[in-house]
Amino acid sequence: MREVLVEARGLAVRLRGARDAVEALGGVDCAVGAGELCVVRGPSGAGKTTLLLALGGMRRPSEGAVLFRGRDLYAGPASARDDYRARSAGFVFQGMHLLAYLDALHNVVLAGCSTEAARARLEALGLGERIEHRPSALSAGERQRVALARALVREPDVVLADEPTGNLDPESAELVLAELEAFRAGGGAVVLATHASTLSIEATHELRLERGRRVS
Amino acid sequence: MNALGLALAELRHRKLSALLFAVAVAAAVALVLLFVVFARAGEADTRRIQRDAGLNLVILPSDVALERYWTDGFAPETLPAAHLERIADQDVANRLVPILSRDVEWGTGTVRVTGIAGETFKRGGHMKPVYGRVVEPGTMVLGALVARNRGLAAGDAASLAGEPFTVAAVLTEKGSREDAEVFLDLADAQRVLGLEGRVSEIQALECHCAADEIDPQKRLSEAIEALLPGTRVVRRERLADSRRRQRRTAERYLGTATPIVLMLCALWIATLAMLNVRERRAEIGVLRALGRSRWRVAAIVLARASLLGICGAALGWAVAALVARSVVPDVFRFAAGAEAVGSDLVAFAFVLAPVFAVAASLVPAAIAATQDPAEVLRDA
Repeated sequence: MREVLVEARGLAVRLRGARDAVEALGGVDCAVGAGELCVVRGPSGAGKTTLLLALGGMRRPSEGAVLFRGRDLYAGPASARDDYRARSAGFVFQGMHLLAYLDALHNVVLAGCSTEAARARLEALGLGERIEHRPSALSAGERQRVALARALVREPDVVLADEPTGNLDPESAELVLAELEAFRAGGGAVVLATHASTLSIEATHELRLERGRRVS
Repeated sequence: MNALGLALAELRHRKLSALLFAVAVAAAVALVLLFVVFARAGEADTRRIQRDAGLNLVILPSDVALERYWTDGFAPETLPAAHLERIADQDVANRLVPILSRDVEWGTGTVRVTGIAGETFKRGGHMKPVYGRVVEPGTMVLGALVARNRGLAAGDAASLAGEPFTVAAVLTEKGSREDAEVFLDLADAQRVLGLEGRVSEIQALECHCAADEIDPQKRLSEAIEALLPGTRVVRRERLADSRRRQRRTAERYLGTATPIVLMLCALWIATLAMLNVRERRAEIGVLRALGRSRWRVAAIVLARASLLGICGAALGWAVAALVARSVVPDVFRFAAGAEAVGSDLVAFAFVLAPVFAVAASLVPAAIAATQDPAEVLRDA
């Protein structure tokens, strides 16, 4: 039986603009279960990042709800959402957002794991030799793999990946996507946002957004 | 990785920002320490001056009408001049000055005749006369108005109450009672006024006080009055009082300036903390995305502030110690040892500086904590 981990129901997000509210998302529904990979496609400004932030407990919906394991994320206190992000959800950003003053190992430790777990995860991603390097000494692909290690190290239920291959060469992109695929195969849920029309990863289902609306 | 570890790593990375922050804290710490050191040195200086300069007392006849003494400027009653010898043996004062004053009619009007002993007195010591000028027997020193109204100049012969005198000097006009005075040798004045062997007061200047004595007047008064029955002692303005007022004025200035400078330092620290928070927007967004609570994000900012507060305390203490050691001995002549920044001040600095730095960083920390991570991560 399909186990839905994270779900958006009638999700609408209105952002405050300079003059009036801008509708970033308008009534989006989606559900991602364990062992599923949902690709969210759409051009820039379609609402992909807003959807991921809402699913990650960082963007309160104007209407609708975000459920994690059937519980409304935004009905509880902020500490519950902090806990959700710390234990159950992992983020991967296009910009990686590694801390420049920490080496690869400590960037992963930042997720709240032991150094041993961080080391093991980095080694599994082929970064055993780069553990003590700071982000400035890593290539873009290596940086994204460190960011991926940080998202996966605490073995979350859901990974929310926002254009994770956007800045990568094809070879690095392949590595990152392979890791996400492995996470999915292990029973995790992945929501991957991309503006690319093609992506070398097999999605269990796909969502297309345009101007904040689901078009397919 | 806890807040402290993260703050330490960040400090090592952003050295200039950390240095500027620590310098701001150090400036505040050094200022406060120097204020306390200067206040303590000033206190020590004043005590020492007070001890050396002592009190200025006036020995008067016991039946003197004090109101009249203060309004007329002299006591109408008199004391035996021999009293001087009786207290000279006592270690009461550095200087004893017997004075006899009376108003007399002289030619065109009334003048104040003041006889002062030809020498100041301190047994076993040679000191400069407190009144600057010794009037020789047979001579007179005239106030400017007295000389002008009578057409007298230095070297002229003059007669006062039938006694012949030579004008030794004419004082420059001062715009004070002294312009209407005639200064004579004490013995000449006693003869002119018909008060041989009498004085109207004995000034006991620079009375000896213990360094830590808050008000030695009572003790000295009792000692003198016991030695000289039939007298009473009143206090005159003292040098130490002036010095204390001067010190208090300086303290008031410092007391006003210090909070202003502290506020500027706090603003400087807050601005630097704010810039640091702005610079770390994406980092804060990531930390929030990784599940760090608002409190833990604020704790990172505050941990950084407290670490730099400790560094600032050390730096401020070093600067204050250096400045105090080089400046205090030049400014305060008698404050030997007071230039040291004591262990109590060091402890005070190391406790207060982190508190100060944290307090100044509260607003930036609150801004960091309430920063919307979604906005940051969307923009980044």
